[in-house]
Amino acid sequence: MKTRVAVIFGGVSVEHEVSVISALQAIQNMNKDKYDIIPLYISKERVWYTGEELLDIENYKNVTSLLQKAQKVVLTRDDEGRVVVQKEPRPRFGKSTLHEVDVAFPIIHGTFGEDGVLQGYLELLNLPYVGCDVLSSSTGMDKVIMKNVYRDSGLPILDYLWFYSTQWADDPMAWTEKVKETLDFPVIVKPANLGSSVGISKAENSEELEEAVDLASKFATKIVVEKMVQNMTEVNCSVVGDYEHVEASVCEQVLGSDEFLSYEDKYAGSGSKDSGASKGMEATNRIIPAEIGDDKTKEVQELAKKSFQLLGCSGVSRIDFMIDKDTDNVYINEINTIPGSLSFYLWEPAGKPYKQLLDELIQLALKRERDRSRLMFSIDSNLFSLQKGGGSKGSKTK
Amino acid sequence: MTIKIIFFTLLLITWILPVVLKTKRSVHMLQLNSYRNERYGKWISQNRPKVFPSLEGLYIVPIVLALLVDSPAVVLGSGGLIFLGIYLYFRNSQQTEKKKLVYTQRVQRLLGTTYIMYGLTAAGAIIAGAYLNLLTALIILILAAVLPYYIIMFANTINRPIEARISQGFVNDAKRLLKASPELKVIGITGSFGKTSVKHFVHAVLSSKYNVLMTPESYNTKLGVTRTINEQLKPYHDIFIAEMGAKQVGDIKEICDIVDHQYGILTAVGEQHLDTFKTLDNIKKTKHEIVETLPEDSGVAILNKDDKNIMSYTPQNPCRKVYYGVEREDVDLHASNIAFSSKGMTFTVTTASGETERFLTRLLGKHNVYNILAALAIGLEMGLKLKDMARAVKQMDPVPHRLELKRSTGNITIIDDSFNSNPVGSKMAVDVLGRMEGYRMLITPGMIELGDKEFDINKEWARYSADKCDFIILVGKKQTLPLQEGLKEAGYPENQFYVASDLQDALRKMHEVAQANTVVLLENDLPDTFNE
Repeated sequence: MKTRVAVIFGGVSVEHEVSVISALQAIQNMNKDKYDIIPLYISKERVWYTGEELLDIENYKNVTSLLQKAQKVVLTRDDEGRVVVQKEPRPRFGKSTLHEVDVAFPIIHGTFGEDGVLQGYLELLNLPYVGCDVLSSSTGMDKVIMKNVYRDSGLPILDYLWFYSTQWADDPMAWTEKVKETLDFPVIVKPANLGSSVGISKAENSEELEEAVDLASKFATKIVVEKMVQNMTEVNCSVVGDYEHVEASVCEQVLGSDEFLSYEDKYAGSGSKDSGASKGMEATNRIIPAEIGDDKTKEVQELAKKSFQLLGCSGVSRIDFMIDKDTDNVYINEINTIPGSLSFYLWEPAGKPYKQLLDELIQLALKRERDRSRLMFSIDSNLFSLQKGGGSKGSKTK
Repeated sequence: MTIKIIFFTLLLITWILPVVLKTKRSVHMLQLNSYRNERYGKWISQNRPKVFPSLEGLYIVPIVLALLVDSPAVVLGSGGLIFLGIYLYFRNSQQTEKKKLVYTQRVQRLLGTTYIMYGLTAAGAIIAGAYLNLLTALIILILAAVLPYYIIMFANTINRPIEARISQGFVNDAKRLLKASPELKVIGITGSFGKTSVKHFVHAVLSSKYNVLMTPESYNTKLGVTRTINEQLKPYHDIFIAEMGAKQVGDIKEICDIVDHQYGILTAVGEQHLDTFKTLDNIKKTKHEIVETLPEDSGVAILNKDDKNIMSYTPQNPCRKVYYGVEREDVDLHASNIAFSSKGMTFTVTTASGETERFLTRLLGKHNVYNILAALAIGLEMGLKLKDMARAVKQMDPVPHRLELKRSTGNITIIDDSFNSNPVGSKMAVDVLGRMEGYRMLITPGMIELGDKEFDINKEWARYSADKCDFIILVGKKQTLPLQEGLKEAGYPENQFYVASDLQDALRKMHEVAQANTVVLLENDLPDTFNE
């Protein structure tokens, strides 16, 4: 018997395509002797599909024809409480159940997949799943909440302020003043809840600030304005584990531009067409391990582990840092609870092959399930229900 | 003629009522006796007043009338009224059931067969009424209304081959599933007592590192273990723990043959179910089936060296044996320095290799030290360290109803040991009560299923308990006679005990006599079959 793992990917997110790449990479590298893999693709229209044809990246060039071939499904519970993949619509005759599922493996970046929404659904199904739970996912996704948590625990973050796009629209002048006062230009403007670099831009003055806020408002109602470090090194570090035990990967140093990566830079890579897309993160311009010296590496790794456990994360995350070259200070930029390519390229140089990483992630999902079932253990008691009938009132007649 | 038909129809309708009610009760008792005719038959012979209530003597009335009066209306009408009356009486005198009848598929099949038989009986009565005489028809119906307990037994016999085939199908499925998980390690646990606790403790210790499945509460029969495998075994499980119960010789081996275990834990051997086992030697032999069926080269037996009944039997199987103990020191795993406090119990464990660790647990009683030792032994076999397991032991919850410490409303702390029913366990439970601070109260209906020695064991236990309790409530007037006698012999003051008619009455009395800081031990609480 092999453990049946449903890899859930695609999704309703600006990082839909990246998710497809990350998921197919993971599926290719999973131990097939140990796991049966069920691909579950969520289209941009929120329809779920399964089928062999979803496993070939080439097929995604024409999504319309791909989805005509794939089987529409729902992930649901059957009469006996098992989680199954069921044909949708349910056929009137014949078998409607395609697969039983033991563990879910969400590989969706951004909204509805990395932010706790999908995780909540899996919780309701009572299905063990890989990665962060609802709270850590949603905390990690919202940059404002994340910064608040880190700041309250004394972890280093850059100064920032935030507002709703409607608040901005009511009085842009006042907000511009406030930005000038508390942060000073240049600043970075971001939508609060996106995982990738989408909607992020730099502002050197009031006009650019207005443009930047307008852009960010297209993606979120909550906007973060952050002090910009002008002379910085961008460093990422991945963490695997859970609340009990964690380890940090080697660090990567992100190059490519002196500011930040554009969406295309980050994911499509600069390589030629045949190798670019499927290679994903590997193709980006980066240095592994980061050339920041042993001490800084260690500092970054320790901060990465702390920020992972502070949110109660599980599975694999990638924490992105900025090092101010002038002051040598390290700042946590953001946490990705389902990082692109699951950060496997940071673990292979750390001595953990991708196959092993995936295996550990699935085992962590099962461990969380065990920890939880232990908490639920033995609540029932029929003694007190008997007592009610027996008359606790009787004692008062004494 | 039409009057006769109308009255006959009414008679048949009223007849159905007491028949259905009594059939339901007899199926319930058959279920409580594990669908085993010999045990069910024994229950019937011990419970004549329930099987043939004296009220059913009223059935003689329509028969006498049939002989004396030549009026179908009078005869059939009186019959109908009596069926109705008896039905109403028994329906309203229905007692609250502690363990309700579960309408399993097996029960449904049994009822199916039974109602076919009743259908035929009714048809027979109609034919007799039409072509012979009313008296014959009446006698057929009345007999059928009196005898459901036996008719169910007969139906059970008829269904047996079908049931055997169905359960064999489940067994084959389970074997197939186990075969498909070659990496799975299977642990079997048996013993006269302690097996459920050990099962939970093994689960708690191992699940810090492994994915563990165990048979749920009271699924310790062949069918229960099979169902657990079929319904709950997942491909990712590393370890399966099967609790194995036995009431007859061969019971354990039957389960072992299905699960093919590599580890066998034998917790204790005592005089439980002597009525079916007949002799202590039979019990020893049956419990040791868990050792004898282990693979000779790779199997590991985990045994309690302090248990004389275990040690007086020499297993044929040469497989490796790991011993644990408190009294005996020549063991692989030894516990010492047991101490009690309001938080629970502490003790030190030493392994043969000299590793040692202090353990703290919220569980009570020396027997729990044994249970934990058994779990630690398995943990060591699976590569865990004593130190790793100390945390799991500290977090262990008491098994529900097994010396479970719970705070009730107000002043009362309850030690719920209501699922216990054996001499050693009961003695340990009152020992624990005796070491508690406060006003100590015992509520118990006594022990059952102890065969010839039942009376003496109960009497002795009552004598033993006398100086450990400040107040004793006995549940059931007839049931507790040996306990009453034991207390009398021990010179227990009469104003310090009360004989309650049932559990409800006992709990009422408990609240009445409770004082500030009262500890109540609830010892043994029996299913309906033994309410008296």
